[in-house]
Amino acid sequence: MSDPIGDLGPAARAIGKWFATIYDDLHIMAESSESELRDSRGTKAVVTERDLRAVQPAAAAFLSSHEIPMAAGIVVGPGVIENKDGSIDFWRRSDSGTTQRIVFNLSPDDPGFYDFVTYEWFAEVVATGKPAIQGPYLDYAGMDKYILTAMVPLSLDGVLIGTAGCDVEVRELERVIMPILRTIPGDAALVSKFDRIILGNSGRFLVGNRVVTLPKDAIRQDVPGPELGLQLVAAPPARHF
Amino acid sequence: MSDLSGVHSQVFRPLPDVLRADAIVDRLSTAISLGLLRRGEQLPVENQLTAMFGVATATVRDALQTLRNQGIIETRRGRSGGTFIIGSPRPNLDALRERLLNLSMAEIRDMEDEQVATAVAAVRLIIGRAFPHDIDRLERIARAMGDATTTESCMRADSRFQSELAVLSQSERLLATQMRLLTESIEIMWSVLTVESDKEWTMNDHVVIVAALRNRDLLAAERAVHQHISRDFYRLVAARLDVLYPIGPTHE
Repeated sequence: MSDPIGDLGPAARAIGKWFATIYDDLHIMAESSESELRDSRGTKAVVTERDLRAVQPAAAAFLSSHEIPMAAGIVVGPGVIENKDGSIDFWRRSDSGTTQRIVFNLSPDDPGFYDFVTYEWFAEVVATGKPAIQGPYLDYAGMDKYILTAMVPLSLDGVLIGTAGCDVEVRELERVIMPILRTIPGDAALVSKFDRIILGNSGRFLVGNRVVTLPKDAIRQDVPGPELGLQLVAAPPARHF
Repeated sequence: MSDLSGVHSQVFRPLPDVLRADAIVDRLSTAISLGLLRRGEQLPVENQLTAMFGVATATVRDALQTLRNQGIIETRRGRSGGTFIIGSPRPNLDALRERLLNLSMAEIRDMEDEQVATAVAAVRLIIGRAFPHDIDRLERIARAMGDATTTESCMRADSRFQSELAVLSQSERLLATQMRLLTESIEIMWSVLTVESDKEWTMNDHVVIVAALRNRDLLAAERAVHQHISRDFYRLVAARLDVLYPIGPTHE
C-alpha cells in the first residue's frame, strides 16, 4: 500500500523556494530604498515625505519581476520622518503597466484611520528586526482585500526605521501554491506560524480557518527558506463527512 | 478611500451594454429557475424594466430578445398583451463551470461563511417564532426532494427548502439575503452535485434540521445547518480542484 500522506519534503522545499525568491527581492528592495532615501534626503536633518516618494523605482522594480504580489513599498514608523504619523509608500500595478501610489489614511482622528503600527507585519518586524509574514487577513481600510503581507526590516544609516514589503492576494497566491499542495497524496495545508490555514489542497482545510485539532496520524513539516514559521500539515485523505 | 483616479475608477467604470444585457438575462433566468418568477407570470413593461435595471432601453430589448430566442418568454400583442414567462431556462453548464473555476478558494469559503451566517440566524429566529404547523410545512418541503428525479428538480427542492427557512424566520431582510445567496450559488452547487450521489444526504440533512427545529434545540439546529452547508461546499471545492489541479488527494 502506498504511503497515504507521502513525503512532505519536496512540497515544503518547493514552497520555501518560492517564498525565498520573494524575500530575497524584498531585501534588495529595502536596500535600494535605503540608498534612494539617503540620496533624496541629502544634507537635510530629517527625511521629508517628499523624500519617501523616491523609493518608487525600487517598488516598481520588485513588482516588475514578480507577478503574484499586488503591491509593494515601504512603511516608515511614526516619529522617524518630518510627518509625525509615519508614512506608507506602497505602489500597485495599474492597467497601463506603470505603478500607482496607494492612499492610506494615517491621521488618528479621521474615520477610516489605518493604524498600521498595530499590525503584526509592522510591530513584529520592528520589534525583532527579522522578516515576517501576516495573514491571510482582511486588510480593512488598507488594501480592502483578503491578503497576506510579507515584510522585511528597513534601515537608514544603521537605524531601523520601518519595513519594506509586499501584499499578496490569497486569490493570486493560489496559482503558485495550489499546484504544489496538490502533489501531496494526503489532505494537506500550508499554515502560518499560528496554525492559520493559508491554503489547503481539499475542502478539509479551508483558507482562514485555524487548525485546532489534527488526527494522531497527521504529520507536520517546516517550510525551509526565510524563517517565517510556515509549516505544512498533512493527514491521510479522508472525506470530510 | 476617495481616490477615484486609478484602481477605484476601474471598479466603478460603467459596464459595457453587452455585459449589462447578459447580466439581465442571467438575473431573470436564475429567478425563473429558482421559482421566484413563475411560468405564466407577466414581466413589467419595457420602460419599467429600463428604470428598474437602470439601463438603456436598447439593453433591455437585447436581453428580452435573447430570452425570447431561448423560448423562455413570449410577447403577446393586444389588449391582454405583454411579455410572459413561458418556459424554464436550461442550465448553461459551460457558463456554470466557468463561474466555478473562476472562484478562488477564499471566495468559496467566504460564500460558505455568509450562507452559514444567514442559515444560523434563520434557525435562531425560527425557534423563537415558528408554530408546530410551520415546522410541518417545512418538513413537507424537505421531504419533497424524495420525489426529485433530475438534477434540476433536486435543485428546485433544495432552493425551496432554503428559502422556506428564511420565510419562517419572518424576516424580510433575511429572505432577501437568502435569495441573493441562492441566486449566486445554487446553480453552481447543483452543477457539481448529482441525483444519484447527493440527493439522499441532502434530503437527510434537511430532515435533521427540521427535527432540531421541532425540538426547539438551538444548538442542534445550528450544528445541523452548519454541517449541511459545509458538506455542500466540500463538494464544490473538490469539484473545482479536481478540474484545475487534477492530481490530488484521493477520497474514497
